[in-house]
Amino acid sequence: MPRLTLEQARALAPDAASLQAAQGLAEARHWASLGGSDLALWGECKGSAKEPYKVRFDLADHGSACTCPSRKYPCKHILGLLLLAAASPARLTQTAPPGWVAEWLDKRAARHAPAAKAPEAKAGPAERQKDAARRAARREKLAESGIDALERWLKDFAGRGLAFAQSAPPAFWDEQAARLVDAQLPGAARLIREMASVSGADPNRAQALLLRLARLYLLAQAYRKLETLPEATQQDVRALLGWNVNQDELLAASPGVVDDWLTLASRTEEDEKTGLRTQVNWLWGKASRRPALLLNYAFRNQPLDASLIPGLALHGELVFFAGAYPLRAIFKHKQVTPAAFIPSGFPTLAAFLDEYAAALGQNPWLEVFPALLEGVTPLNLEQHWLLCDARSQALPLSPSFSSPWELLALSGGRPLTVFGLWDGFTLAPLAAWGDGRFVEVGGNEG
Amino acid sequence: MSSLASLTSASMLGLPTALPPLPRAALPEDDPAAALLIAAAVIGIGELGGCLPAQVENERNLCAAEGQSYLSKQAASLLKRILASEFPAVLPEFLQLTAQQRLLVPPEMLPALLGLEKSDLRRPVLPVIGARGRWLAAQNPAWSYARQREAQDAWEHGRRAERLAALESLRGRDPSQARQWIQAAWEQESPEERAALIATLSTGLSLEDEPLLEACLDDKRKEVRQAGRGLLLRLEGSRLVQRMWERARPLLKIKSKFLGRETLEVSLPEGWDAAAKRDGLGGAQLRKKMGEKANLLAQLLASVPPALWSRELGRPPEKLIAAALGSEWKEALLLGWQLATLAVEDVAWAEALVPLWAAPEGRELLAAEEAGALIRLARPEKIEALVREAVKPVLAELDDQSLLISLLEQYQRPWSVRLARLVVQSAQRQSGALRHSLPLALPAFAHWIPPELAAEFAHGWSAEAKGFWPTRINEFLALLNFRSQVLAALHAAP
Repeated sequence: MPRLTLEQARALAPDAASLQAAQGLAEARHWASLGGSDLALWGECKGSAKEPYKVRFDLADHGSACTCPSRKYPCKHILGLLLLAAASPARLTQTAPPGWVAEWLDKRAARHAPAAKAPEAKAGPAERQKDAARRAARREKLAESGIDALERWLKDFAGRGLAFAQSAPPAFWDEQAARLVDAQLPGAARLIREMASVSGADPNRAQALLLRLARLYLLAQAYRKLETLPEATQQDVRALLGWNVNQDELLAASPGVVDDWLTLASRTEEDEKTGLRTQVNWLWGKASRRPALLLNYAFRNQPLDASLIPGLALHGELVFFAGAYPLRAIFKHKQVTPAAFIPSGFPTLAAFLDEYAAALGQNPWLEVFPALLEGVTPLNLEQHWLLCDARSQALPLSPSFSSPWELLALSGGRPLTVFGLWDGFTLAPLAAWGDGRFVEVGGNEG
Repeated sequence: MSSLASLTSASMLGLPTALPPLPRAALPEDDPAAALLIAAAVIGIGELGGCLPAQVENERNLCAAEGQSYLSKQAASLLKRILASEFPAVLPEFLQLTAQQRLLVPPEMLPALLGLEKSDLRRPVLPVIGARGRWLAAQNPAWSYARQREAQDAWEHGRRAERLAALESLRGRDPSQARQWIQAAWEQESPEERAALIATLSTGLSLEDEPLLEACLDDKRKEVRQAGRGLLLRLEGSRLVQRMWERARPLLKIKSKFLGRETLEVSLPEGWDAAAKRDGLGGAQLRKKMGEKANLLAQLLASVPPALWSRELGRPPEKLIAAALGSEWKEALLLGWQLATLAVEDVAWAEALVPLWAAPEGRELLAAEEAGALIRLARPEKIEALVREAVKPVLAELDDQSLLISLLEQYQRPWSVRLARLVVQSAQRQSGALRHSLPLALPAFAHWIPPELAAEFAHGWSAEAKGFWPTRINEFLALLNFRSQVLAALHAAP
């Protein structure tokens, strides 16, 4: 199992203060014992308590534990251990895990074993089912009133004219979003809040706004005739409006796709008001040649998945959420694998756009579409950046993409493989391969 | 009105008066707002799905193959941290080591390096960007300094920074050719440009440049006159130095021993004639509180290479400085000598003047704003000797009030191992007690200490460190550790 590089270890820090504290601990003098094997890293860190803190890190899936009372995750002791292991591996003198490490590893292995899942205690199944049905009915009713209000709001907006968006007070968006949250339609609420961000004066923005209004209206309409739609589209509509899928049931019920999954991009956004952190990860399958979107949520300093490191591959089984064009997925099981690879993508831009059109036909609400493009060269034409393929056909890069020069430098005028997100108008690159090397591009770095 | 764009512009101020007919969608006739939204969805999503790539003229512009290898992954990630402002001050050292190892920075880091704001970082960036960096720089006007086209082409057609870079590099290879370029272009250049061109002669300066520099003394612009004069003073055989020496030589004599100590007999200059003024004498007083004649003396001494005095009077700089301290004109003498030492970068004189700066009474005689430059001229052995005199382990520590701390702060050149041990071990012995200046100065010392000492200095600090100490010790060790990682990463095989 590969150990983490210094850079990867640093990237796990929840904040700058933790990293700094961990750096101080990354010296052997702070540790009563240190060890590492193919499976795990461990150490006993001398802290302010009488007993040293016991720190463990599982190399198979980057899970970790520490006996310190810190609420941050990973805590400075775990980070310190990782930094130390990366900088001076020779200091990890123990090679056989002591009892407290072996036990912990066993416990983890048992929890992950697929057969170990105990069926939920079903006290009075009939009673429970009735309960669930009652709750579902209540929610449907609530949602319907929310959809009514949403339709009125959309039509009212259209009646005022799109220019109104430029002068609309924040409350105009916030109140409608809050109403949708009350109606248990948080997905629709998010779509409203995002509209506020594209409501500028420039004509492209007005056009983007109209498209968003229209798609949301289409969503409301689709909900009204949900029963008449194909099953997969029903799932898309519900997911977009904010119905959650029970992930345990999904994992239990659906077959997965076993493959080597390369993490292409991972970024975490934090909502400052609620403290909710969202980790958005894009993966690509080696043999399946398909993208997967992994969304993880955590509050404040609760752990997010530490094994999704851009450029690293995971071998495992991904279960896709049902949908007309399935993208979102979760891991049933996974293991870090040293075999990174350059995934194969679309050979031409025309082929990519064909796939996009087909996907839109399946799911007209697709907001961004993962684009893995082979043989594209960055091009700077009169201050506009493009990606150009071997047929001299080109797509524009997003004006918000922060590192077009990095991409050009990486290419040296030669074709690259680029991964990015296509929003229907422009492409925002997230990663590229130059001379076989994986490089993250575009903001959110360092 | 069948595109999303036209539908958008028709809907800016309210519902559009008419909607386009849509073959495959029935629009509700009684609800115009709903009709608009449905039409926009049909047209908009249709446009997204129907989007085609644009055909472009793509002239192939390929970068030449690279002859050197790139930084290791580990070294590149350290550079990334430097550029992300974690240890920004380590950048010059990093670039220098990279160039020494004949390594290049990975392509994706080129834009960050080429775009560095500080112009003094531009020269060290050039050897590490490789063919890819020059190729990239040629495509962004802001980076033209790094494109390195044919020197002749850059000189004739480049922007200012590019021309100067071409001239400087030619000057390094062929000084006389570079001088001929300047002479040929002289008449067409603007005055600001001329001063900058003359400044490039400091590389490979020789008496062959003297006629051109002498001619600068008659230039209309002060900047050009000053640039020429500064370089002439560094040429002992120049006519300017000869004229200055004729004026200065009669003014100082060794006075016979008085109670075993020598002093200087000083005659003061009367004033300047037209020839002296052409040579740059006159102008503003160097120090207001000195008398008029003393200012004249200091001005003249500042224009004479100090080595001439050591030779003429047959005394090393230390002796002459000691003699000057016994003179009533000591302030003018030392100020003049200090400025002359800086002008010609005379190491022996600088090393003789620095101890003066470390003593409270001597310090006032020197120009404070030039102190750093003077201290930096000294070799590390000299600084080490100064510290060694003051610090005797346990008996006499590096005193918190000592001017040596400030001297070390201004030195800003690599320290010897022994100097580092003297200073840091003294700090370690004092780290259990409250101190002020020493802990505050400590982190910056880590820039100049040999990084191989990082492991040694990690131990030996007091367990009861308090006050300023704990955070400063951490900063000091963090920087030193980082530099030792840089060193290890750059010396490891790529």
